[in-house]
Amino acid sequence: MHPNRPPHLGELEWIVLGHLWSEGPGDAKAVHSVIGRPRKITVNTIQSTLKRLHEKGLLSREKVSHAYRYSPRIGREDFNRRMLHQVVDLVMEGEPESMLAAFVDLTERAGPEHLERLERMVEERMKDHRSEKG
Amino acid sequence: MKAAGLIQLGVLAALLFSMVAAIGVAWVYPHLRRRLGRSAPAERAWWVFALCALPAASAVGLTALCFLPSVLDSLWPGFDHCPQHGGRHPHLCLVHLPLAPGSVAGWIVATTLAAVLALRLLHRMVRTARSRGALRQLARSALFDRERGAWIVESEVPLAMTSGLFRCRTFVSSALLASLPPALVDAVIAHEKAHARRRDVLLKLLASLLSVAHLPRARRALLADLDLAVEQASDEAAGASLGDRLRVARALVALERLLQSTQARYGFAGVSFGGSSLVPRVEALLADPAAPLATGATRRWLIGATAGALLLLADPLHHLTETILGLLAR
Repeated sequence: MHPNRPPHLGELEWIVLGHLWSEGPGDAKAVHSVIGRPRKITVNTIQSTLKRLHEKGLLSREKVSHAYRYSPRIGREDFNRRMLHQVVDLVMEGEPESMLAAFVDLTERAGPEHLERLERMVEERMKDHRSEKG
Repeated sequence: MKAAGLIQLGVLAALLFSMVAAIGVAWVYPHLRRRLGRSAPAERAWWVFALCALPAASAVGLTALCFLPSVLDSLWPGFDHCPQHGGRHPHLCLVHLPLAPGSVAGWIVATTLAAVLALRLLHRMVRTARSRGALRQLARSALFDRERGAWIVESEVPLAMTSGLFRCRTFVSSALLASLPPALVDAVIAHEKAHARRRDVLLKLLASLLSVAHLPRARRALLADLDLAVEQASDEAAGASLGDRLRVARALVALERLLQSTQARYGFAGVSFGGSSLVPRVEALLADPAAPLATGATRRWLIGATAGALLLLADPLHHLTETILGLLAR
C-alpha cells in the first residue's frame, strides 16, 4: 500500500473492514455470521473480500488451525487521515479545488504575520461590539 | 464531400471565435478585475463564471449565429445573399455548400487545435473522475450527524468541506468539532451549507471545464477569482443566516490558527504560505457588505440588449467570418 494513498475499496470491502475495526480480529466464518448472513452473502464472498483486503495491504492474517484469522493492519483513524491527505493531494496536483469547497483554503496558508494582523482586527471589532452593547 | 467542407469551415470558425474571445478576455480582465472586486461576491461569481465560459460560448453561439442568414435563406429564398459575393471566398452556408471538401492545411489546423482543446478537456475530466473517487471513499468512512446535518469524518486534521455536484455533502472532521467552540462550529457548517445550496462545486467544475480555451495565465486568474467569489458569497450567506458576520470571521481566523498548528504534525505536502484567500475574506467580513454591481432589471436589460445586438449583427458577422476564413485559406 502507498504510504499516503489508501487503496480504492468497494462497498463490501468497506463494510468488512469497518466490522474488523470495531469488533477486532476474526476469520471468514465469524465475519460472515455478522455481515454475510443478514445480506444473504456466501462465506466464499466474504472469504474473497478478506483476501482482497489482505492483498491491498489493509489486513494481516495468521493461520489458526485450518482457517485464516484476519486483523486490520492500520486503524480507522490512520486510514481516514490518509484518505484526507489523498483528497488534499489530488486537489493540490492541479487547479483551485474544483471538486470541493473547503471552509479554509487547504492548499495555501496565510503567513503568520497576516494571521496575527487578522486576529487583532477581529479582536478589536469584538471589543467595539461589546462596548456598543455595554 | 461537400458537407465535409462545410464542417471544416464551421470548426475553423468556432476555433477562431474561441481564440478571439480568449484573447479579448485576457486583455480586458486585468482592467475589469478591480471593478468586479468591489461588487457583491454572489454577483461577482456569476460574472467571473460568464467570463470563464466566454470562449466556449462564443465558439458555439457565434458559429450558430454565422449560419443564421443561411437558415433564413432556406426558409425565405429572398434572403439569399451568396450570389452577392459569388465564389470569391468560402460560404458558411447550409444552402450553397462548398464545392471542395476543404483544404488539407485547413484540416491540419482544425484537427490540431481541436485536438489540443480536447486533450486539455480530457485531462480535466480524468482529474475530476479521480477526485470524485477519492471523495466517494471519504463519504463511505463518514457518519451522518442528523443534528448538524453534516457528515463527520474521524480525523485529527481540523477540516470542513463540501463536495458533490448535485447531491452535495458537507464533511466536518472530528478534530474540528473538538477544537472549535460550538458557536464557531455553527458558523463553519452554515458556510458549508451555503456552498451546498448555491451548488458552488458544480459551478467551479463547469468553469474549469468550459475555460480550457483560455490563455493559461488568464485562466488561472479567472479560476482563482471565482474560487474567492464563491467563498465570500458563502461567508456572506452564513453571516446572514446566523445574523452575525463577525462570527464567521472569527471562525475563519480560529480555524486557520488551528490548521497552522496542525500543519506541523500532519502537514500536507505542497502547502504554500502567503497566497491564502483568508485575508480578503476576513477583511470583507469586517467591512460593510458590498453593493450589487447591477440590479435585476439592469441585468435583464443587458442580456436582452446583447441578444438583440447579436441578432442584428448576424449578417455582418457572417460576412466578416467568411472573409477572414477566405484570407486564411489563401
